[in-house]
Amino acid sequence: MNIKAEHLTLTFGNTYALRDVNFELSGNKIFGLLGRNGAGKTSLLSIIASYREPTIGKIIINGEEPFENAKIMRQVAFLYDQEYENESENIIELLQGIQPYRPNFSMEYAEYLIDLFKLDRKKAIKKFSKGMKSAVNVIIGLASRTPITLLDEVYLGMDAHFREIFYKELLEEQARHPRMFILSTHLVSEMDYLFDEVIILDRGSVMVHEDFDSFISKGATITGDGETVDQFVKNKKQINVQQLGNTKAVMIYGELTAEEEAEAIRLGLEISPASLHDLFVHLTKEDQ
Amino acid sequence: MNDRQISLKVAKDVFLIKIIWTLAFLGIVLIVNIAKVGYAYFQGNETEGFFNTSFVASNFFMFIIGLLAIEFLPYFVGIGVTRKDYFIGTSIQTFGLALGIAIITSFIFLVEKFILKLIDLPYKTQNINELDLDGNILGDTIQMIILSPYVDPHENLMLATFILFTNVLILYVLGWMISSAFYRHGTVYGLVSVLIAIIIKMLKDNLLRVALDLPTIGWLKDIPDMPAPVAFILIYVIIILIFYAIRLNTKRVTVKL
Repeated sequence: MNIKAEHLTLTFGNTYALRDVNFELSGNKIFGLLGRNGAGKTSLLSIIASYREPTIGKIIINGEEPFENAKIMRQVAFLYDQEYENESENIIELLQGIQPYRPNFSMEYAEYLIDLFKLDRKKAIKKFSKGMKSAVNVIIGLASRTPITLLDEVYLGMDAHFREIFYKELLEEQARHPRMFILSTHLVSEMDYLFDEVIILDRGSVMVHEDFDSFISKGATITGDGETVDQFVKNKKQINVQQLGNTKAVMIYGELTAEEEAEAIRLGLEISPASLHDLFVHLTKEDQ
Repeated sequence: MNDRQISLKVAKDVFLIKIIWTLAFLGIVLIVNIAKVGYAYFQGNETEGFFNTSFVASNFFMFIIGLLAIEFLPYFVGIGVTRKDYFIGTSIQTFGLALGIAIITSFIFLVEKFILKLIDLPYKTQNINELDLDGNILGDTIQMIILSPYVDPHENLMLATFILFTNVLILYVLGWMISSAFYRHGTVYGLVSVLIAIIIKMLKDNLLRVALDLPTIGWLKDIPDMPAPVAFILIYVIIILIFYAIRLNTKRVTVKL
């Protein structure tokens, strides 16, 4: 599968939800879509899922525009934090209604997931707790087995235990039936190990789109004597500074060469890797 | 499934949900009617009959479930169905539903007629077509919205069934048109669509009055005289135009999360 965004722009009046977004996603990978509230994550996903059209630019999926394109639309599943307030059907009835429209839907797998998340088969979905409703969205997303699956923070309502079950199941399902997942999230620290690639949206624009490992390798925290650290990082992009007494820790963004690493050791500085969470938080700070 | 199969599947799925609502609604109308027949029998009065009760109540019912038709759009787009297939499927089931109401009502009428004949209970003479318009704009408008031209099923059951079908069909699509206008364009255009729907309803009623050789009434009473088939064709042209307006409202609409 291939998704290409070309000069994608979405406005609401004078406000830009997306501003000239360009990227290309390829392969059966898990993409982490990160961004602060209002960064444009849901807007981007809703355009990919044909829920709306962009104001300017286009999305191309496998060489075709998806909007009102039956062939593409049936291959894209978009699950978001749905409330199911009026859903009087039980989980089985709901899934049976969806199954005929999704060519790869597996009811057998859905049944397995219902047991995994301990959902009551007979209870109306509107009576489910928030966590159970999140599990319903996850089950639809996984069991539909669409070549492109977009999960927009559907796991937020789950408790930590069920989120762990979901992460494990996602990786196992990806191994069994590889496809393109795009997961948008705020829970960066607990989900980072899932991502093959990372996209960070900031105020409607793509700030970062990189392979997870190469992105992570660009972040480091240099700790040591304040003056020595300042001297060492003066030509680097500094995204966070912490100081305690004479000890300073500066988080930098940008790869260190082997010579620079050797120099840091010679100067008695400590180099520690930055986590995706740290990079995300500090790169998307208001003052960056 | 190919595109055609998808729209037929949408039609079937929506129809199966709404026909259950419809049967429940007609069941309630039937229970009310049985109670009224029983009361009339023991009081020694005449009874109105099921057809009449259903004729008035079905208009309301179809208008309300027409208003709810837009609620199915987010569900279908969410499972990968295009707006076009949603529109085609919902349109097909609309005809099925209107036909279902008309046929079920007429069938129950025939059974009721047989039973009332057995127990020798007479039907009340109907005066639905004689509106009491007194120049009070609000009162006159409400009467014209609620009541549609009526054909007595005792005189011509086929025509009465067809008129019922036409009435409930147009009420459903007017409801769908209004809700799609609110969904697509917001409150102001939504309210404008309500006004347009009232005018369309009055125009349709007066065309029916012309076709049924009844005097025209209300705001649009000056429509020219024309042969009945022409009036019926015009009514169905109006229905097609309403479908077209719904399609325009939903063709590229943003699905709200």
